[in-house]
Amino acid sequence: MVRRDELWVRGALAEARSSQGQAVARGREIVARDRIDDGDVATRLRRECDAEMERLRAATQSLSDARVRGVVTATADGVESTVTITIDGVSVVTTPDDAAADCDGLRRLLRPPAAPPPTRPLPIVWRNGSAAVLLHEAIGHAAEHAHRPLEWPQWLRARDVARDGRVADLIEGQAPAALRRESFRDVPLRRMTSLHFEQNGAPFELPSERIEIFLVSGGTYEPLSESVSIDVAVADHVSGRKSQRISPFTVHGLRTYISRALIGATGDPVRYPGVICSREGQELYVASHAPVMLTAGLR
Amino acid sequence: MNELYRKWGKSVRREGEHVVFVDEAGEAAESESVFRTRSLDDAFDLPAPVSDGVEAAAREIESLVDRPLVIERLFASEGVVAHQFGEVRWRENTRRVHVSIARPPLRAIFDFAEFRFDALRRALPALTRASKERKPPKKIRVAEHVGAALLPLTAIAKLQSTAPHDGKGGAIREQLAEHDPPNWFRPSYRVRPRKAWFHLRVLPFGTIEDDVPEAVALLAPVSRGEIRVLCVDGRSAYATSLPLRPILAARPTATWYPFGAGAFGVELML
Repeated sequence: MVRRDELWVRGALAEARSSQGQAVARGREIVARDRIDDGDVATRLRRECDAEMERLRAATQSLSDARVRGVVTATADGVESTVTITIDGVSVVTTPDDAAADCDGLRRLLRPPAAPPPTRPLPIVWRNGSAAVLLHEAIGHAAEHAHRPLEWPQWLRARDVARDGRVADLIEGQAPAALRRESFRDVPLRRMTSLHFEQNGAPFELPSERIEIFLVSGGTYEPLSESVSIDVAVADHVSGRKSQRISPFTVHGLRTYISRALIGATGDPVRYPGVICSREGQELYVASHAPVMLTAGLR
Repeated sequence: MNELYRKWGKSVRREGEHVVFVDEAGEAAESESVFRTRSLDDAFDLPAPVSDGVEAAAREIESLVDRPLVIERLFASEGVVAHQFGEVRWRENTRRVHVSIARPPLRAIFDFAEFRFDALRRALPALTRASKERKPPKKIRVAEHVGAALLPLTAIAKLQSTAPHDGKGGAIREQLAEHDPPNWFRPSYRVRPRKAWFHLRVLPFGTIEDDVPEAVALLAPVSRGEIRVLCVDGRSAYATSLPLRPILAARPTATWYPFGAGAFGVELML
């Protein structure tokens, strides 16, 4: 693999990292080194990586009000390119193709909170594809850990699609098909690649009082207790026609509770701008898509 | 300011069932505004690691864990590293162990810089028989490896210990760890160095009451607000969470632990 990693702060380059290496597996042994034996492969990967980083820079150079981190990784399987854009401490993770639009979307969403989160649980409408993060934790990680499948609503479909097209039905408890690693130094792990949550004939009735979530800053799945935590970065408290931006907050729930709390969905899946998934210290980009979804109140 | 740091390393680690050999070299260049790193295609005469040590360490840990306990995570590594900052060159040998052992829903976590596992031998029987969560006792003493993890966050007088080199090759001198640290910490060539206190230790004070319940393991990473520990009180063992209370007594030990830029073991009474 060959990687380029750059951090731009308000239009100026702050950090730049380049690395390369290979890992050769023999049984349970992995021999990793920062040289690529095959000179032709090394030259090709460097060329692909540098070309993609040029494209990434061009796609993000206008984002001079943001903190922009671009990471390009070229491997024998192809080139992966991610852009993390942060404004006022709130981030989206996207691709060069979507960077400008997602940055515009982030700017539109940012405004100071006007109220604390409501103290009593309210129904939650997960907009902007953000339900993909909730279900990434509650369904995706549970499948990675081979935890027993739960009864999710009949209208819900949850698939992980590997880069080579292999599909895992996560609701059936199938583990993600791909073995992925962050760097050549890391042990490959069975990890999610591209999540697609879909609804088919789900009920959906918008509660008059609700929380609407647009962006999350993080999520965790605790495998020992099978519980999920979602850190919400941007959300509104809606009551009738009144809408107030509320301060960041965290929702928790056992995945069994979340499976019962999922009470509706509408529309086609929306690409959520950003999931960097960390497990065993390895951070990987996971593409995520979900329709607008409705859950009962989560604390 | 234009600074150049280079690092060459060979290591072997046991991670779960895998044995991973890593051979790499890299360079970090820092100017006023930009921090750049790159792989170095540059061989350096370092001994090739052998896996016997990490395999033996992993086997020893595995031998200590019986049902209902399960090893959730096991990393044991050792390596040799050569550093160069400007004209200063130095070498070091490292050993690290990170292990988390679960008895759902509890998880005990341990970090060591030696392949010695006395702390596991003491804590795992307690984890096996641990009952449900209880309120914290009025006084609690913490085992030395738990105390080392707490040191960076505790409000007691701490000393930085002498060592030959920091992350920019400078000498690390003994001094009271207060105000801004003078030395640079660079855990990897890929990470921008930051100021940190090295090899923290405390001087003994007060009297540790040996009949006070003892925290023998961390059940969660240490945070500023509170600690969650496995507590042994006579024959009983239980999980408890408590705020970082004032320290009533300290009894330092000579074992070094890999928390932050290093901390020596210390039994504490809170």
